[in-house]
Amino acid sequence: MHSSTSSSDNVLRAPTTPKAWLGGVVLFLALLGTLEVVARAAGYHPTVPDSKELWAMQRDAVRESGPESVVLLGASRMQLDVDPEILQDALGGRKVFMLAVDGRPPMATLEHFAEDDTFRGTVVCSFAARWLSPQLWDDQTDHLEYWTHDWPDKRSTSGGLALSARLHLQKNCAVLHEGLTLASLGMRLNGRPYHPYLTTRPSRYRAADYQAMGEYLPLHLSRRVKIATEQYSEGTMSVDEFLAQCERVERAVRAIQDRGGRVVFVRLPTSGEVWDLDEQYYPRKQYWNVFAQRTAAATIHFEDYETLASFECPDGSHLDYRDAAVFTRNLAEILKEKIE
Amino acid sequence: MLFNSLTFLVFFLVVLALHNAPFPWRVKKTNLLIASYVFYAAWNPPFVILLWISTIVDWFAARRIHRAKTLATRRLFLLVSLCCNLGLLGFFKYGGFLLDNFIYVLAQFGVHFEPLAVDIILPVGISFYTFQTLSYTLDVYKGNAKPWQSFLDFALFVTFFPQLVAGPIVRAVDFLPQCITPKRATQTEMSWGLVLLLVGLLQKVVVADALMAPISDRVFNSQDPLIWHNAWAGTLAFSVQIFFDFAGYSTCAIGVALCLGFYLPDNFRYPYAAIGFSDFWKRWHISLSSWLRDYLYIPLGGNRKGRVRTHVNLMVTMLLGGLWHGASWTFVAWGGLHGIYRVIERFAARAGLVPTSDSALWKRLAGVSLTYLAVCFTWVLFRAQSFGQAFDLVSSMVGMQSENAVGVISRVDIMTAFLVNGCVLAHHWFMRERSLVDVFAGLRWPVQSAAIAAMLLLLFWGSNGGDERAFIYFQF
Repeated sequence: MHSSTSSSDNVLRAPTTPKAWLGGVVLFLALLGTLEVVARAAGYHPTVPDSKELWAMQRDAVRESGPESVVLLGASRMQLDVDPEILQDALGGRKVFMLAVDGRPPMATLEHFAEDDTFRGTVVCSFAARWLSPQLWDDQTDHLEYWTHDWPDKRSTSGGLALSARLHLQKNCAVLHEGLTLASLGMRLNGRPYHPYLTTRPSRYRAADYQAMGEYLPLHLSRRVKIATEQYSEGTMSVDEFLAQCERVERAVRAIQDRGGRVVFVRLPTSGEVWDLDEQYYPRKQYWNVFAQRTAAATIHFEDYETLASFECPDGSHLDYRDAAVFTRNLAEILKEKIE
Repeated sequence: MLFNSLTFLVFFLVVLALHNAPFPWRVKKTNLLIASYVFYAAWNPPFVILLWISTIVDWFAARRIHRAKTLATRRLFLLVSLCCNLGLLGFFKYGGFLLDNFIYVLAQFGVHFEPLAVDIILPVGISFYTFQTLSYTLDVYKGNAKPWQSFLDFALFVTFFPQLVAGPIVRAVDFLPQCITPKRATQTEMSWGLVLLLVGLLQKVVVADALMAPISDRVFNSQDPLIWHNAWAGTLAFSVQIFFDFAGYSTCAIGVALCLGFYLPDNFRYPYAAIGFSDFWKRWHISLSSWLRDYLYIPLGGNRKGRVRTHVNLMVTMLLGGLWHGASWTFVAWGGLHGIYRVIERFAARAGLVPTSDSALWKRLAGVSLTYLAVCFTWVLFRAQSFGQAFDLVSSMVGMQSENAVGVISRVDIMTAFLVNGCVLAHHWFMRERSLVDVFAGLRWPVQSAAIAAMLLLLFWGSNGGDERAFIYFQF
């Protein structure tokens, strides 16, 4: 950039003045305020992008907490159905950390905690028989590798401070919504369908507002069913293969328990066609029941508890945030019995 | 400490406050020196010792050179400075590279040598401050400068934090005289310095990191051979990324220094509008290319010893310039390719084939396009992790893609890379004979305000999801 601040003469012509800066800052704030109002009017709301940095901050917090900590593992169902802040209150102040990763089965992270000699807390792990497949086992590895290799540098230099400040802005400014671009805003204002129904909180809980989807919910449901159908059509494990993989899970469970930790597997609710698909490809009797019988960990299947069984998933696979709050409290009551 | 970090913002505010407090000038310079050490130590505290060594050795070497009665003594102290500075640089930057090549050569003779694994950390910015301090000693040796009388000023020259880790490489004759009289930015200097800081951050955070880096990373991290349009998009994206990353740092550095009342030299002058490679190197990383010209090319004989020797000198200069960037043969090859370009250009110029500023518009545009295309091919070598990868990418770019070629970026990414390149080239062409300060000064203040507001908004938005990536040139 030819800025012409050469030291040969050290005489700067007057390209700009404080007046221009003052005007610029005022205009910037006015533009930002206007954009914020427009974005909110278009249905955007403040949300935190669910990033590896956020995951790493939670993982750090687990390391710094004691044996009373509760770690939530899983994929989107755990992130949308269980609110860690509500669970923390309901469990009488035990620190609860969300380490589930949307769209990625948690088995690698379970093993990661089994290998962490310092961890003596409680793991509450969402469970689906399909996740034990060897092809899906390592899906969360990149988060683990990020935390191990990349995060320490970032945290120790400036990342921690910057991330905290960014989180603060993101949770208060709709204009920083990760899905917001000028193009998407324009489309939204022109009446094109856009449904920002998810809000991610700094705790990594993702609140799903299915009521906000209105008439588009059936379309969303059909997409969800299609995704589930495609996932199952990629192949299923035989019962024997499943049992062999259960041995691997069990080794992780034993390692955590041997250090005084606890493990609870939870089958979170699905409904309608998604539940039918679950039962078609991985029938409860042949998979979950066998697993629950064999494992040394505690297990909770939503069907077995009246307080958990009555919830309906609007998209077949996840709870609306209003239900998730009640579900979390009900789950906490059962968890108390299992881990105390 | 990165300019694009909140830590730096806090640090800079503290430094500015101290610098504008009613302290004596000597105290203010001491504050700046301490701040500079803190700035460097924020990355790795023990390596501040390297700065001290460099400062002390060159301070005393220059004085002894100046006082020496005989040529032999002068040469002896110059040698001390060279050995110390280049020795540290060689050990930390090229130690592993030299060892790897030594092992390779031995293996060619059937000797299997397995040394103890040594994990040498590269001190950030060592190439920059080594060249900066060396320039002082070399200037004193050549009689172009006298040893400076104030050790505090000299230490500040070596360590001045805005340009410490990634340039511009400042000459003592440009910096040290600025230490004599008290410096405090005027309102105009502060305003323009902040604009430059804003422009630099925008270049780095929005264009380099948010727009281009994801595309070039996916292309250059691919293990598979790529379809031609992916290879081109990745290369063009990197071409823009490297410019905005590095020029962004330099612009920030110049702006930050100006906020403190110090003037640093320009480091970039719209290089992608260069007509020919000689012109390119007068516009790209100017402080390095002028350093290499003054302290390597000219002492080698420059163009004074005949045509062949001129070409040899050019090649040596460019090869070493390539090696300066990194301890890898791909960097040497990058420099070598630029050297070859410059030799070819000299032949072409003699045949009247290189457009000048008086040539017709289409000839100048053709010159810019050809130069840019050729430079893009060199960026493949610069960014590739191996010659094999570079060869695969260049093969794809010239239409000889592998049958197994795959795509790793989306159509939107490809369009973005080409579109941004077009915008950058047009911008550089428009600004070719202009400077930012002239353009900005020509705007009425409300328009300036609008420009500042737009930049703030883009920066606010652009830094939202982003990683705080380190500047690429930190590794050099």
